[in-house]
Amino acid sequence: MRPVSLRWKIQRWHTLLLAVVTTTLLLNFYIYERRARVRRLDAALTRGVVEILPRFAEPALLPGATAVADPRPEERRERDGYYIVVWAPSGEVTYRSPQAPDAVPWPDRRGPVWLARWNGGNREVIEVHPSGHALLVGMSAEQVRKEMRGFALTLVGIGAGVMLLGVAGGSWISRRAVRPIEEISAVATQIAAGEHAKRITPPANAATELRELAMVLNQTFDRLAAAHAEQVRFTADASHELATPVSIIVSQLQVALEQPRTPERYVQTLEACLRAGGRMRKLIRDLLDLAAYDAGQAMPRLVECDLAEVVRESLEFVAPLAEERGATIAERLESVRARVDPFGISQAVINLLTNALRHNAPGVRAEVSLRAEGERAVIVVRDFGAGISGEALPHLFARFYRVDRARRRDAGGSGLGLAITRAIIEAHDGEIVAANVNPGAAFTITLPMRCG
Amino acid sequence: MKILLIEDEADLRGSLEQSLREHGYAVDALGDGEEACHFAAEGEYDAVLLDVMLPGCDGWTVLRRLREWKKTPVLVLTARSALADRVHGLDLGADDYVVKPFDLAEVHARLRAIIRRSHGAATTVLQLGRVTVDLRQRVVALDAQPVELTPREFALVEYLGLRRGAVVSRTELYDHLFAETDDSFSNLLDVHVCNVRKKLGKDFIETRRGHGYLLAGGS
Repeated sequence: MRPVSLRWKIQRWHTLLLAVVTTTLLLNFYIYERRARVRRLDAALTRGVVEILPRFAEPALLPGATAVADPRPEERRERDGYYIVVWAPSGEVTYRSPQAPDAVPWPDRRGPVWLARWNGGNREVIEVHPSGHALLVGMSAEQVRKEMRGFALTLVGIGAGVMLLGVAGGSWISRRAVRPIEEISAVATQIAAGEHAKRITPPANAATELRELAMVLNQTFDRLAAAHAEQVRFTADASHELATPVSIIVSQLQVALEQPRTPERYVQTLEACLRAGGRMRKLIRDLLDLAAYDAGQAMPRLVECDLAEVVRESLEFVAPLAEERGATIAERLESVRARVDPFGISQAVINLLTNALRHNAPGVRAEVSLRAEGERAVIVVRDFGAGISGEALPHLFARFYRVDRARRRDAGGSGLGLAITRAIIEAHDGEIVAANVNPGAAFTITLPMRCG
Repeated sequence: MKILLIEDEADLRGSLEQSLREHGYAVDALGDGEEACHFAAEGEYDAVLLDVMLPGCDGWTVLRRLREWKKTPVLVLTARSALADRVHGLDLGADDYVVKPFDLAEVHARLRAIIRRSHGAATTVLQLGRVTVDLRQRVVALDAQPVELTPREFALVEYLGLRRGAVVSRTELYDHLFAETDDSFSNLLDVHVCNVRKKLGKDFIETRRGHGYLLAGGS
């Protein structure tokens, strides 16, 4: 079907409904009026019948009564435009007005009976007396028809007026109803065209539904704008992180090539370039990991295993770093079987432990615990260090967010560790929460066990 | 010319420092914001090369502290090319900026430009009587004949040339030609002045006893 504007649709239905209602109403009015007029005509004819009939019928029943009285009422009636026909019980015409039409069929009914009928353009009322005599009083209905034609014209005029007013009013109402929608649509178009900061302000008199629509749209735009801003920031941050190692490589090489150098100096240059390259490699790997989680490609390969084993492996992995930082990591592990991606969970725990060791003073004490809580496995990585500043806490899992810029590089992280950790946990339909627990900070991972 | 280099990335600081030294600058290189704040306000530098992403106390703070005391030209190194960042830097009093990843040639060019501008010189070639000093090529000519100068000697000529007509004290010269880490004795300056006179003519640098040196420049 061809798409039609909402306003036109409303207008169309409104007009159609109005037309049907008006026509029905006026038609009924016309029929009622016509019936009433015919009834009035019938009443006048009946009065004639009542007056005249006895003069033809009664003498037969009452012999000796005078059949004819002067002046004869039928003559008076005939002067007023009526015509009269009288039949004997045999069907023989006993009286007939001169102006009566040629064909006036005998009703052929036994009395007593009263009936009204149309005979061409004439209206006739017939009374059949119990004696069998039948009297017909008729009259041309031309007058009634003429009046009804005038009446019909009036009604058509009224109908046209009502339709005109109705359509105009409907058009006004539909325009008013549609205007806020058009306004909303216009603003939405502007936003789609790139004016991301614009928002819909519903007109003061807008209906509740439209206000809700505007609100929902605004919320959607807000979310999209936030996602867009996040994307822009992420791209800027990623290129920013790459800018420094590229600067190192370029400047180191430029200096080295500017004039002949000692072999030791060349080795230094190469080492510096290698360090920068390593940093870029780490960053790019982390970015690829994140991108894979974002795209939903890195869906964890779930294997049923003992989470305690997974956590122990992670602990082994960070043991050298713990030794280097003079830290001790305590473990309180229950055996919990769950269907998880052991590699992913291990990476998450390693990330959290590495953070705990790096972002605290050397010699910090940390603790990993694992327990079952109903259908869920809970892993808590906590340290007894300085804790996390309240300012940093809400942004902790944001990409490239660094609690302390000073520690960004010597700590060797890409700024993506916690973002990746969260992505891993969320891919498991689990959740990760960071909180300060006096003393230190705790990261709590909750995972569904998914075991039968 | 003496530069204060503030860059927290050791590998980047190393290459920048070496490159600057090899272009005849005296360089003090620092990797920490707190220290940088102190140095920038205390020391006499011809320019500051400042990375704004600094640990301890960020580059903008260093810049703000410096501007409270000094007009030293500042070249900002930034990894953020966002317009807002650049405008912010310039508003705080940075003279120019270089966006990472940069090319050393660009750093040198912008550095020369801000130093020149801070001395009110618009061109890269100074005409000092019979002597022509090309600040960009870093060559000196006497009567259109090229003269070999050591980087230190060139720095001396450059500094006096940019301040031509003014008496420059020995302390000031010393501050601008030698880095904190340079092991040098004050008579080293006399040696350099003597060598320059030998190469560019006895009257090229005048001595104002008790005040310092003057490069009249003949114009």
